[in-house]
Amino acid sequence: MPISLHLKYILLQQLRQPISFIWTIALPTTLYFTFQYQKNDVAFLGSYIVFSIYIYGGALYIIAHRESGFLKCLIPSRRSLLYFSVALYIANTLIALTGISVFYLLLYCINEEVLFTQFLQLMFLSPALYLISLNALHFRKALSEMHTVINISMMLFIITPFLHQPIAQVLNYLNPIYLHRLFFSSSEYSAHWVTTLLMTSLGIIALLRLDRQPVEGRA
Amino acid sequence: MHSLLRLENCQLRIKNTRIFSSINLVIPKHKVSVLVGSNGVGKSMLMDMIAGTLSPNEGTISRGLSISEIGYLSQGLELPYLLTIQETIQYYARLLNPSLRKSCFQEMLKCFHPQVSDIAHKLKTKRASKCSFGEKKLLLINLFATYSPFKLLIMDEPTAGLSPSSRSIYRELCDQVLMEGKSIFFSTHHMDDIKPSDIVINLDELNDGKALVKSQAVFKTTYK
Repeated sequence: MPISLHLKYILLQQLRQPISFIWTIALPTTLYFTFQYQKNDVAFLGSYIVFSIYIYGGALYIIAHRESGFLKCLIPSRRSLLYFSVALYIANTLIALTGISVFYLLLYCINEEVLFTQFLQLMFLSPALYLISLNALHFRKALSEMHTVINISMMLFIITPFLHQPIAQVLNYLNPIYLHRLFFSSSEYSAHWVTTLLMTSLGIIALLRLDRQPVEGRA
Repeated sequence: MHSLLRLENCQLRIKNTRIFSSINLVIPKHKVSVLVGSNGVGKSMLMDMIAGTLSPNEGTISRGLSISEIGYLSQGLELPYLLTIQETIQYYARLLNPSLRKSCFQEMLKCFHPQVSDIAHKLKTKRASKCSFGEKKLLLINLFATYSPFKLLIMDEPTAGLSPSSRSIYRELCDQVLMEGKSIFFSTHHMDDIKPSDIVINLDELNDGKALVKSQAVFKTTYK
């Protein structure tokens, strides 16, 4: 019951702010055509859509609710935090599915050849991507600071896979969007599995150790 | 006097700043305890500590109840600005009391204080961002008082920003909570709220190490 309760009201709130959803799809679509990405980059941009929905609609949503006192007053236990987090995952997965569908449909309508099998592959690893996004909870920073950090990180995540400098290659192993794409474009899985598992575990730890006390409060 | 909660030699430091040196206090069962003190003395942090969202650096907190049996209405709790008042009440009521069955809004309002019920009915289609501070606060107090199944209700300055008539509604809601056998612990700066309380805890004096708890049952006039 608590999961369906949260789910209903999370979705209702997301539906009432469509601008962020439109922007999440508009940005990769514009990038695809402006920078003349190759066809195998469609999956990468799809990963970007899924991850940005999880990080803004999941991790940042949790941080915003911590700052508003919602977690402190209405999510009193670890169990209730778990229910809240599962509801966020389901809600954001539904939004991500819609986002990916719109993105692929847009490309299809503009006569771009798209692989619909990628669509399912994108969603297959979504739980890992959601848990990786929760790593943002490790940083006990105010909402405005986290917004800035995540905006800059998202920009780096979308740029570094196309850079050839050694530092960019190293950074890519911390880039969830890059890792997500590698799962269905590369046969060398071992290193990606290790990094993904590590980041997923750290995401779970961040959720379990979440301090419900607002950072912007006095304590 | 049976105690619900006991703090012994609790110390709290935040980033090398000492908030409390050695706090000792008792929160009794079935009573209204009120916390007073100057601005910035640490009332909200003491409430956070009692509610379990902050831990003391030293000392012990002995609770005669589990954390899930403590309801905590913090001063800064905001209502979601994208939901209407009706949706917020339905959402929060079921979060406070998960065993509550889904019921229609009008049925839920029957459990509210008549005047708060009127306010909620009038504002039901409005978003929280369009409501006044006092209206939102009164709705939150009523939600916590009516729907929380807690044994101890902690409220941080619940009457701040309320008009005198709203404060009298607040006192009636406290009476309702007491009649259900629960206990209340809240902070305030209003003398009207202090006078009818069973126990007054002055944090200024506690920090000076003078008095522990002052009983002011003699002032008891409104709370039952």
